[in-house]
Amino acid sequence: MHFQGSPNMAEKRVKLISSDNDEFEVDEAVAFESETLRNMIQDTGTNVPISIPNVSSDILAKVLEYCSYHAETMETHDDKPPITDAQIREWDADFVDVHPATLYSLILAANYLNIKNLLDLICQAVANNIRGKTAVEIRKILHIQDDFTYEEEMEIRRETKWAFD
Amino acid sequence: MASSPEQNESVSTSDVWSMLPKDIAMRVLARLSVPQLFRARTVCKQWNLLTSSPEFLNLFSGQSHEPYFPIMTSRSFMARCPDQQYNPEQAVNSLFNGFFGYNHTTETWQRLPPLDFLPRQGLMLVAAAEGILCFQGNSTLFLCNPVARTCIELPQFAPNWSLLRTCSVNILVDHLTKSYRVVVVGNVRSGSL
Repeated sequence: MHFQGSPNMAEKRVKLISSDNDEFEVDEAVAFESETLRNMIQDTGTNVPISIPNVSSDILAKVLEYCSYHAETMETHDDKPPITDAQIREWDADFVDVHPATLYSLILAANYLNIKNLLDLICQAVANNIRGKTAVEIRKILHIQDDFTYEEEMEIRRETKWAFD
Repeated sequence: MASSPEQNESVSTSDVWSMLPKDIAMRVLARLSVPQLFRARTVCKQWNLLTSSPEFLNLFSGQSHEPYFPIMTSRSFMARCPDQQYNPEQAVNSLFNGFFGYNHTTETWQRLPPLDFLPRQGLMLVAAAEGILCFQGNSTLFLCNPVARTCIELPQFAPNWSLLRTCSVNILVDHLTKSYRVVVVGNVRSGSL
């Protein structure tokens, strides 16, 4: 699979291998969105394919889609108007509008690959999902087991009663 | 009978979120507002522990949170409310209990923690910043953190100096040093600042 960050032919290309052995090829600038990949490339160069053992191909494809879009937003073209912040925000909102299971895999991948903006974006999306929800609703959304006894929960609620009104 | 694809899906997602690495869970929770955070503490034991850790509180204070616009209902306001039976004893309490914040994000009024721990000396709210409230008493200023339920009395400027009601008070917060200054402009009873 190829991700075209820019049509610049002089750009170095980087090969990435997902956990299920799919090969991806991207511009160096796209890979540099990830701090982890940047460090690896600076250590070993772009000749050796980089294997990413804990990210599957469908998730890696999503991550690289994010990286190539954001690498592109940094570039200036004479023939095209620059991408506005509002356009980027809209694109980002669409990007995180996915199934919670995908969002979860993306969080782990963004964390491992150390892509700060993507991690911030997804953390904000998850926070937005639980905003204004009760504890019962949050447990349901995130499939978290309630491990409090009734008394323990009441004790915490008593300390901060005003926040539950 | 084999389970449907949706059931498989929900089973495969069911446990993952509870296994969310602690540092990522903290990043998510640090984006909640204070009342939401308190509600999140009752979700599970791990969240309660995580959000009470110094590491989390440091992360939380580093995030920008939309400020509330605080409002307190005064004794005279309560007295004018037609629904309220005016009772001076009750009115004193309602001054401390009628404390709300306007949330710009959700465009709603949020009840804020009761200020019943404040010393009752005819306190007047004169400034607010970053969750800290400044009250003016008869002659001194009090700084209060309503969430932590703490209140300190600021030292007087000089002996025999007392603040007049016409003073303007502001709180300046320095995010780099995590410190604040209280600035008072106006007349005091024996001279001017």
